[in-house]
Amino acid sequence: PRLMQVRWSRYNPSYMEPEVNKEFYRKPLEELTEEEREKVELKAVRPIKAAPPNLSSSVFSDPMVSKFTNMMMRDGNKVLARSLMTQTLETIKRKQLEKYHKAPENEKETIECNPYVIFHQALKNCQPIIGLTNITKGGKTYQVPVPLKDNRKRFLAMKWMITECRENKHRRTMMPEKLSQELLLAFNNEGPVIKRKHSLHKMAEANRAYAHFRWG
Amino acid sequence: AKHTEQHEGRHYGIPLEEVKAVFPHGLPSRFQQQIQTFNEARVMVRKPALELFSYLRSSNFAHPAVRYVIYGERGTGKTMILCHVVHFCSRQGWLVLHVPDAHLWVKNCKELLQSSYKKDRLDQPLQASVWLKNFKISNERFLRELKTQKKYVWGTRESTEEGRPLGEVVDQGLARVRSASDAVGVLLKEIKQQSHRGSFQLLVAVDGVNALWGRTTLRKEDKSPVSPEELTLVHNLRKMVMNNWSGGAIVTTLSQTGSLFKPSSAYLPQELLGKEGFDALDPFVPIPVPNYSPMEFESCYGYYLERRWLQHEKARTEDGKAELRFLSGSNPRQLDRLAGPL
Repeated sequence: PRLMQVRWSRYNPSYMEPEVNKEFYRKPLEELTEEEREKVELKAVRPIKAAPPNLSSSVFSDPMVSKFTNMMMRDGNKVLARSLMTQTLETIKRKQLEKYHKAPENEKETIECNPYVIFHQALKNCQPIIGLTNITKGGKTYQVPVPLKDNRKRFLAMKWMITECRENKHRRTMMPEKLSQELLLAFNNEGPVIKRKHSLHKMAEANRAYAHFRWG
Repeated sequence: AKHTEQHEGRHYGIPLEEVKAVFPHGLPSRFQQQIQTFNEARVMVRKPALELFSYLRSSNFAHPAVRYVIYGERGTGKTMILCHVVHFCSRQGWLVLHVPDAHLWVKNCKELLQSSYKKDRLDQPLQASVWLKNFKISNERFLRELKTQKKYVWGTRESTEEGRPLGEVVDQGLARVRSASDAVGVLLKEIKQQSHRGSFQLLVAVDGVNALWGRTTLRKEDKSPVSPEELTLVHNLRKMVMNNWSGGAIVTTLSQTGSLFKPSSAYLPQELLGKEGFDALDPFVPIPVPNYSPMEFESCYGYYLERRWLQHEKARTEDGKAELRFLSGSNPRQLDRLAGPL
């Protein structure tokens, strides 16, 4: 499917990526491994690329969360997308804490309150394992089951989550509320997004006969 | 936790039944969400509140009422301090006249009626009836004890005789929504006259007092703007805030967040009240409210950790704490907003 590279950068190949992690700079020289020592020596000599605006050195930043906010963004309104994301995480936390305080003693440990853990687990549960691609052979296009790359899986999970929240809701429900509901359902392996993943798996299983079309 | 004197920086809990009885309409919405999530209401004791308590305790009730104006930058906890004072006074048995936000009375009003009492004034039945309902919940005891001293005629058929308990005035206002604002005015006048005798102490707690002297966003039917004097509720409240009565205290808060036509960086009394308001409130005791001191920040952070509000693993480390302190600038509102998703 993808043969021509579309995105490219104007930087000279000698430029290195910036290192944001504060922990990396606190370690003294002796504790570093061989590769890290070479990297540090190179850094003293080679020029470094400029840091992109969504990369932050804060302890609380998460690449998955920022990717999700970028996908939720519309017309470049990052402020709105980020506030929706923070409100979603807060509603998840509130719902879980309320359940936690009402639960009896022995169940208290099973209830997960951390919104980030729930977010990551829900997205992992939504990721499909195989996908379908269109392959043309002898004039006809067939839907062929094909393994997906990691990036593609993550992208599909997030995309399904967002489209589902945008379409299947009552007119008056707010996005954070609907998203938190969907994320909690996905965390427990229920809900419409998991159903969509299962239907994709079933289609792939049904088209198993065409699997050899992948290799010409 | 009645009289917290030297416990600066600690949180004290208000039992939930008292919260419903004392604050039917007073608390900020985010705080109400916190109460629901944690199943308890915890207020932090801060220095301005302690100052206010010492003044209130040592105030002489034979003198005219002293006015206190709480001011500070946005989000530094002025409304919470006011609620703390209200709770303290209601514990001690004072009659509390709590106006949650005076800005709600000068903007977004759907119905404006011509007042029947005076020709050029405008009534607001919705806001008046809501306030009367909440006042009834918080001060039931006093409404049964105090009696009216004059006869009031509401319309062609209803009238309240002399010597009837004030609860009847409130019920009248709730039943006949048209005359609700007049009922409010009558209530305030009666309470003011009777506070001389010293049978009870009166606390007038007004949040967002700069709404009483600014401009309104409301318009009359011929699209001419309404000035605050023309609203009965605002007019009566201004009479309460005047210090020509004795036997209590007036505690007010300036608020920029709900204020109309004022820049967002204005927080001093002179700027927010305008010339009229400042002259009207002139001899007052200003009480500034700063951001969190390091000790208060530590205590707030510890409280969030203890109640499992800060769930992120990195939030428990030293780095996370330093980052929260830097990002929020020790501002209570920013800290609350930042700690939400974490």
